Parts: sequence; C-alpha cells; structure tokens
Amino acid sequence: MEWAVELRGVSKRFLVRRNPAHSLKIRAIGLFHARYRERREELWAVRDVDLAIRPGECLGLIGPNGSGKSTLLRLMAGIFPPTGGTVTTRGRVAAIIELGLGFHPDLTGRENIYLSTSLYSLSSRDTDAIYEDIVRFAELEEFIDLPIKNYSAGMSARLGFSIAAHLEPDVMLVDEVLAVGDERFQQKCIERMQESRRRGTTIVLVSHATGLVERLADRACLLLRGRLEADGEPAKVVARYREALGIGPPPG
Amino acid sequence: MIGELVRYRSFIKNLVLKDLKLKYRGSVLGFVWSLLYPVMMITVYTFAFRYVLRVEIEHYPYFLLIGLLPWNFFATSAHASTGVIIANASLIKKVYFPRETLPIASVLFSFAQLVLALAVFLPALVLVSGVPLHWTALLFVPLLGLHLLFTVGVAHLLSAVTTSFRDVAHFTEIGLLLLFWVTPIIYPITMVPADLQVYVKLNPAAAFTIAYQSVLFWGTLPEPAVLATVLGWTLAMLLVGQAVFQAYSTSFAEEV
Repeated sequence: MEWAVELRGVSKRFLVRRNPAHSLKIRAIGLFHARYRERREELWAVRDVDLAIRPGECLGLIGPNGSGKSTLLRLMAGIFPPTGGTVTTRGRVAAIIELGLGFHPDLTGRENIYLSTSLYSLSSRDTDAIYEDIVRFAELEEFIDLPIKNYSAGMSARLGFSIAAHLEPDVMLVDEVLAVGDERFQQKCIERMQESRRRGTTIVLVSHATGLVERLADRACLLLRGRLEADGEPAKVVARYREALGIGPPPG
Repeated sequence: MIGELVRYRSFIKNLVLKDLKLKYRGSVLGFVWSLLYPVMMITVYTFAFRYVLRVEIEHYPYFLLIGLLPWNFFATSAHASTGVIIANASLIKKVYFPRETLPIASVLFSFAQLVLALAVFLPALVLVSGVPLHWTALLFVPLLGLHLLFTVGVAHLLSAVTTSFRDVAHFTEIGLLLLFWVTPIIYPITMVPADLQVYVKLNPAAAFTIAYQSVLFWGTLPEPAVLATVLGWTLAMLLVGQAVFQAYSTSFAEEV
C-alpha cells in the first residue's frame, strides 16, 4: 500500500525555555546566578503516533486545545522535524495554516497572488494558469490591482482562501481556516473542498467544528494530550470526543 | 538542497522583486536614490581623502568607486542577513520551504542594486576619467560572481547564528565598521606599511578589493596570492555557512 501520509511512532518534544538566553550577557550571568540560568523544560506535544492516510482520504483531526493537533499537522508538513519516529509524505504537500501567508499590504492583489503561490513552490507559469480562477473565486476582479492594504478583512481572507483552494497539491493540510467571509462564502469554501476531494486530493482537516468534520471527513482521529485516542468513523470519534470533554451530544 | 532551491526559484525571484518594488514604490526619485547614495559618498570621500589627507592617486573617484560599490553590497547584505530569519518568523512557523531562500534572496536584493549602480557608474567614470580599460577588465565579472558566493556564505552563517544569539546583529554592525577601515578601499594597499600588508591581505574584503582594483584600475592580473585568498575565503565561507545553516535551520520554527 502506498500511503499519502505515513507516521510511524512519531513524537515531538519541545524544550520550553525559562529565561531564554538569547544574549551572551545573560548566558555569562547565568554562570554565576542560578536564577538567571536558562532552564529547559520538556513538553511532549505529540507522543508515539502511528497514523497512515490513504491517497484521496479526507481525515478530520479533532481534540481539545493543546492536544497536539496543530503540532501533528506541522510535522506532516515538514515544518518541524519529529523528535522520534518517521514522517513520510508522497507528492506535493501544502499546509494551509493561515490564510494570506506571505501577503504584503503594500503589494497589489495580483503581486500577492504570485508571491504567495511561489511560497508553495509554484512557478510563475503554474500561477499564470490558475490566476484567473483565483481572482474569480475570490470575487475581486475590480480590485485586483489595488494594494491589499485597501482591502477589507473579508476581501483579504477571500483572496487568501482562494489561493489556498487553487494550489491543488496532492496532500492538503488545513488548520481551522474555513471560517472566513460571510456565510455564503463559507458555503463556497466547503463546496470547493469537496470538489478537491472528488478529484482525489488527500485532505487532513484540523477543526474544532465537529459538525464540519462529520460532514466532510470520511475518517476522524481524536488526539488527547498528544496521543492518538481514537481513529475511525467520524460520528463515533466525535461522540468519543464529546465524552472526553464531558459534554453530551449536540441538541436536536 | 540545490534541487530544492531550483524548485523554489520563483519564490526567491518574487522575494527579490517584492523588496525592490517596496524600496522604490511611493518615492518620487525611485531608483535614483540607489545612485545618489554612492555619488554622495564618493564626493565626500574624495574631498576628505584626496584633497585634505592627500592620498596620492590619479583618478581618485574612479579608484574609490571600484572598491566602494562592491563593499556596499557586501556590507548591506551582511547587515540585512542578521535579521532575515527573525523577520520572517511567521512564514517559517506556518509553511515548509527551504529556509536558505531567505538569506539568498536578501543577498540577491543587494546584488541587484550593485549591478544597477555598476551599469551606470562604471561607463560614466571610465569616460570622465579617461582611464583606459585593459582586457583584464573582463575578469571583473567572474570576481563579482565569487564575491556573490562568498557573501551568500556569510549571510547563511550570520542569519542562522543570530536566531540563537541576537548579539550577532550588533557584533556584525561594529565588525563591518571596523572592517571598512582596514580594507584598502579609500587608500591603495601600497600605502600600507610593508610589514603590515600581509595581514591586511588576509582580510577577505581586502583581497576582493585589491583584485577588483588590479583588473579594472591598474589593468593587471591579480597577484596569485590575492587570487588564492579570494578563492579560499569563498570556498570556506560557502562550506561553513552551509554547514552552520543546516545545523540551525531544523530548529528555526521552534526558536524564532
């Protein structure tokens, strides 16, 4: 089996630094005064996770705040190296952790589109091919040659989502970014995600919105304190999550 | 690593274009500013060193320019590289891309301005001063290429180390100031006392400057020792810069 994403025994430890000694002075003082000495505390954000995702699968990653969801997503994206275990991905991976990444307020919408897509390794020619679609989807035809500092928050977010939606990677890692624009635009975003899924894009979706996970994902994983607690059918995993949080099923 | 950089070449290109656009957009004189700065420096230095301190050298502005423009490129790049990883922390934490692109783009941004300034000033000063260009001037281009590689190595080293020791930014600033005065840019190396010349020539900035002056100003081939220093420093900085950057870059997303 060729997995799209494969995690084997993956752990991630962060060293939380008390009195981070970024300067030599502090480091020298620390030699004599224990109070100023840099102390490193270990924090295991992800522990011993085994997870294999099939090509074309849509996986919802749920868990309370601080459970390690975002860290796991960043490990898949290659932003952090794992402390232990191995992470393997196949094809082009795009992590959508924040919309409008790399945007500069003084550049125009057009210039920002080219800058932002190149951050995801698209060449200018690749971007030429999807440029019109990005602008049309974001509904910004009239404003695309204005500096984006003149855009409303909603307009920037729409442009950001539209870029993300047209990157068409093999593996798309999405972190809580679907809640942009008005309700109509949100609906459009969700439809766009479903379209990508139909085309065979592997999607990993980190979300607090359990409703969204149940609707979009065909598999869900629950993380609690960095460990994989449940893996399976979204409805069952969501129920397990609610149980862990100590809340009942949603009303109605 | 090289393959990764090739894949991300349009990102590097867009970063450089972004900085160039932002530098000139909204200013009336635009890129003329990049030319005014060397003009002013050359005017003031010529006054101070040619006419007040009497450095005995013909066509002094031309001599000065040959050393000063590449120095400005190196100094600006080294200075800018110290902040480049920290300034892009939000990108580094949120998306994967080869981190080398950041120092490389910042060096290329300064290099683009060097090329622009050279394209305007070299022909102008050759015409005005009437110094004949010798065939050795052709060697200027490969020397510039080596200077670019050397500076990329320095930028890798400084940008990586600054993430753990913020002092490096201040140290670099002072270091550049001191280095400028022990580099034969405003005076020829021949004015340096003979027993000190050998130490001055070990300084990479001096070796590059002397080589530029040989091929453009004196119309001679660079001394073998100078050329060896240039090549040695370029290779050493590329290797050291790359190794240090590799060691630090895996933890950038956690450090910055």
